[in-house]
Amino acid sequence: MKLRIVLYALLAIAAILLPLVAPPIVNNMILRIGSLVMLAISWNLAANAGLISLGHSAFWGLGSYAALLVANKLGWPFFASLVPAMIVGAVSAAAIAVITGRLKGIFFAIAMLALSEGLRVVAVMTPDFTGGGAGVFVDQALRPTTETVAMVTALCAVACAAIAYLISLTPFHYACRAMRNNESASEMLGINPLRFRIAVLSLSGAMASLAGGVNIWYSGFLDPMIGFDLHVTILAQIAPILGGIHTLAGPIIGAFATIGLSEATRTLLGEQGVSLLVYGLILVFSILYMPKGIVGTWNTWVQYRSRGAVGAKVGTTKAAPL
Amino acid sequence: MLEIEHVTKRFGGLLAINDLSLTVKKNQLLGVIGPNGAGKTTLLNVITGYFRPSQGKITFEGERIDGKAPYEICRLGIARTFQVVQPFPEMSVLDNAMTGALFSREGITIRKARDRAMEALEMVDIAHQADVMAGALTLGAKKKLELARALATQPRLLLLDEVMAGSPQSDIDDLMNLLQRIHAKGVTILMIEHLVHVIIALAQHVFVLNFGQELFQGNPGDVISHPEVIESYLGKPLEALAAES
Repeated sequence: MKLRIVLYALLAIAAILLPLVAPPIVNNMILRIGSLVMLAISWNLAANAGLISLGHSAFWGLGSYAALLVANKLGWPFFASLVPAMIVGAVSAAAIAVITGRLKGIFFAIAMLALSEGLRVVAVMTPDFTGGGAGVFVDQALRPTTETVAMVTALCAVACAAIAYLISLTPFHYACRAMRNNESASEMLGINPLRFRIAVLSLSGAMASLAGGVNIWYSGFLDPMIGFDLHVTILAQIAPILGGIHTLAGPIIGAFATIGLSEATRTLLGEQGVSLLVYGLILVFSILYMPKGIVGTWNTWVQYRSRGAVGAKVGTTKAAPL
Repeated sequence: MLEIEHVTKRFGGLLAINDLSLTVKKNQLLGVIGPNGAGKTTLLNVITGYFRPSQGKITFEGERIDGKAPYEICRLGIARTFQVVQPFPEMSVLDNAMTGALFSREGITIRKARDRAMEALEMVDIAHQADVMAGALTLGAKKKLELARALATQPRLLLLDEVMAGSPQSDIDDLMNLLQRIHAKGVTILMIEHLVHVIIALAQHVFVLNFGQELFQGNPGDVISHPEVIESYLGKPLEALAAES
């Protein structure tokens, strides 16, 4: 166990330092994968408490705009701009938690979708503040090097993973799972659902907004279509579902798999249409045939192997450690 | 210990509970019986804060609890099981019980919660299944888990909603034995039960509910021989009906 943690720590340090020596194309990958890791962990945290979000681009976009606005209007540098990005994400998520009350499942998902679309319209309608539909460039003088942005992305992704791991060791993790499984029964055990709902959504919102905030420093440009892009929402849930929903490793593995798959189909099949079709089909079939994702399928397989060795025992579906 | 005074619960035009008063004394094992639809489960929902009573007052150890949320009532030391078992299917049996231990009191560590949860699982005799997913358990084991989860909150008052229903006779004997041991540990119990023989064997005092009102209360022997109680369950004897017509 200790060895494993050391190994993970070394991997994380390597990922953070990699941009110093890597060519730009690798840095591009680090940025994309790192951002998606953050988004996927953020989405999975909320999903773990039964809150299926169909609007994570809302937090992503709010973070993007917060970072961009404090940079352009107040002259805040890269690192400082990430703080308001996170705060805006956390505060808006806490507000959503209170407003949506007891909405769960599909109802919560729709509320999130509406929020994200609504924010996009607001961003278009307030050109004096956000730059409107024409978009706005980040102040070039403030932009750090791509290597720096890539390193910070990797660092943030590692931090999100570490937070998700630490949370899994606390009572918080028990409350979230209990709420997901049966909110009314969890109340009878002393759990105040609203409190945990606010906490988990704030954390999730802060992570997604951080990812958005970091990203605008790489792209250098933001408009409402980029900020509140439905594609972000979809990726934020495809990655954890493909990797293994409600698991720790799932969102991380899923982020690598999703980006890897998209790159592989794009470079191997070239043509836009065909590659996207194949990418989509692989995703659909993966989710169809691995409903528990890569991690879940792996765990089942390992169990099957080990059980085969000691003889099959009926009815002892062991709880997965992750 | 628990005082229910003139409580009424109305759902639109339906009076589920009608001006009901009931007292549970410390260390009592009180049985509540009544035909289907008498308002037994509604009564538990009102006590545990899932429903706010339309009228009346409920106090627990001198503190007024009507209008409080279920999680606050849990922290005061009241636990309950549900008639339709509601374990957390995607959590292990141990994690289910630990959830009970973790949030019922402030500042308990995971390690301590695990010990307390194991104790509860051992008490109901499903500790050997601690690592099994709760969703994979049989109905009987789920009922025991539900009981263990409630016990892990370390309640002073335990409300049971038909824990025996649907269990085979061997399990019923086990459960009766278990309830006696829990009661002997100083936990006050209010149990709703359809199996009259279980109530007769266990309860010190029986309360009969019919159409949301008190029909009769007294010791078990008096209750089963009371003509109105028999009538509420079985209807009038044929001779009586014949005489009436």
